[in-house]
Amino acid sequence: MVSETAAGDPSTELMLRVRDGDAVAFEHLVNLWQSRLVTLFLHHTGDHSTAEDLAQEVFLRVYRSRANYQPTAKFTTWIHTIANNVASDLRQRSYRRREYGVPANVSASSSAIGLEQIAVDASGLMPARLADRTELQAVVQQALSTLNERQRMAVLLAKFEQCSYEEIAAAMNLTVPAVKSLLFRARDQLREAIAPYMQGDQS
Amino acid sequence: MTMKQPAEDAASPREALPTPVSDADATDPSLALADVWDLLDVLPAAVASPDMMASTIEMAAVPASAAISRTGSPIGTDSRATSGRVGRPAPAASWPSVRQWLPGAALVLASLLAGIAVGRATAPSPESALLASLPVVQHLDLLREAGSVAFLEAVAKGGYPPPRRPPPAQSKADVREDAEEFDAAIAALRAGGAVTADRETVSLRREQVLRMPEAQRRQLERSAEMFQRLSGADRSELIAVGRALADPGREQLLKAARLWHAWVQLRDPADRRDIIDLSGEDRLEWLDRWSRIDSRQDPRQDGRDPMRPFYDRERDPRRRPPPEFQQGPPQLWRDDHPRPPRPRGPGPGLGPALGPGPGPGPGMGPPPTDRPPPPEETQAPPR
Repeated sequence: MVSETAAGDPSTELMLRVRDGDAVAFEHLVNLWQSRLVTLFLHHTGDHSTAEDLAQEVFLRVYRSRANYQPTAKFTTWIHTIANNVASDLRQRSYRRREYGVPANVSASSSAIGLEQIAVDASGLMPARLADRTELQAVVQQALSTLNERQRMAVLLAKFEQCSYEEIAAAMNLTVPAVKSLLFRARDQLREAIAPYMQGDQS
Repeated sequence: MTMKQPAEDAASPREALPTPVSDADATDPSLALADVWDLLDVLPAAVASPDMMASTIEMAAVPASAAISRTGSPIGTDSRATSGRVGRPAPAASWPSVRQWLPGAALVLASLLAGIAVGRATAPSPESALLASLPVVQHLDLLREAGSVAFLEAVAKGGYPPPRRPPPAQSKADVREDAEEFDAAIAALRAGGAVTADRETVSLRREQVLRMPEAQRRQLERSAEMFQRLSGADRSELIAVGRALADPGREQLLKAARLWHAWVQLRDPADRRDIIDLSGEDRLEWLDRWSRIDSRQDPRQDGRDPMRPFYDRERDPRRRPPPEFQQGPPQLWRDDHPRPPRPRGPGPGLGPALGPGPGPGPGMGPPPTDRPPPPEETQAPPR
């Protein structure tokens, strides 16, 4: 399992070289993963500079932990775990300091307010006036921000990293049924959030 | 955006998501689940800034000595980062990291314990500091009255005389007893040993305090509290005074302290505290003023005490009538003429027109005599 994973995953091979002190391999690893991580954190936080900072934090943790890296799992799962931990730390810091510009975290229980706001905002984004893709992106991004942290991370890992249930569960320290439930609720909430826009689109 | 292909052996969430046909909520024709999922595709793929990789490499190239993470954990000790599982320990990965920081942690712990031990050995505790200054604490009132070494030296150089009058409302026995108490306090101060002592002396003093009667220990505790409330400079000054008074070679300072004590005793007890609280200069000014007054108005010469309240002067036994009143009234008749008898009692009255007065009248008083009246009756009565 380990050998197969390491053999088939270029990132794992790069990480093994980094562990052995190959600085060039680390550069390759950063080059390979930076845009993916920035995209993940961009849709998670809604802020590009914050996303880059968090991606850098992930790389720094990877580098600090290089000596202890064991290819017991795919590098993808490992780095997704670190990314999830970094995002979790950001949430805890923002909760303590109340100063980070994270999008409003609307939980499932308190999503009604956010959905109402989405509906009100979407009223100004009727299809007749929704001329370009940027506005659609804003609607989807805002709908994504109505998810709670774990739902959003699960959706992003599934959608943009194309992780399987098992990989998401491993990265987020959840069981597979829990991930399925998480994604199901996220899907429903996304659908409700985008519904006003879709209704206007069909009319 | 570089997208990783999903693992073939793992179920993809996209495959697991229900289709619009099978979704019970897909009865709403306005919304298809696939559309919701596909709508996420409109989210743009981010592009890292050009300098991000360079700054990341630069940040990662921090020397190992400074490679303490921002969370405070050394390299490789972030269990969540190294284990690959949130909150799950990874023994195979974490044990080497423990081996890395364990010697350092042990060294830090040993240094900490050694520092605490050295600190306890060198730095005296507050209790030990008090016990080291026990003679000062025990004679705090005496030393506070003395003030400072500089003040005592100024008093010694000033040549001030002792007060000529005794303290108010004190007999000679009281004055003598007070002087004996002062000398006893000085003797006890000298017998108490050094003001600052070594550890053995502190231990002996601790036992001495423990053997004290309860009342004496409480008094000592009050003095200790007062001593601790003083500033560091004041405490040092009192310790210096204690050393000076306990030094047999500085008798002039002891005489000055005794002289100052006698002057302070002239004041009422309520006023003595104000005098003691004066600064050294104010004390000297007060001593100058009252020593001048005392020298001008010697109570042994005129019998008046300027420091005695006016309402108390009438009861002063040393006060006598002025000399002109001590000679008696002027003589209005010659010595060869017989003096009229001095009426006894209220007298016969104010005159014949008013009739006899309330006095005893003729026949009721003593018989007239030719003897001259006693000398005190010829003098004016004292006021």
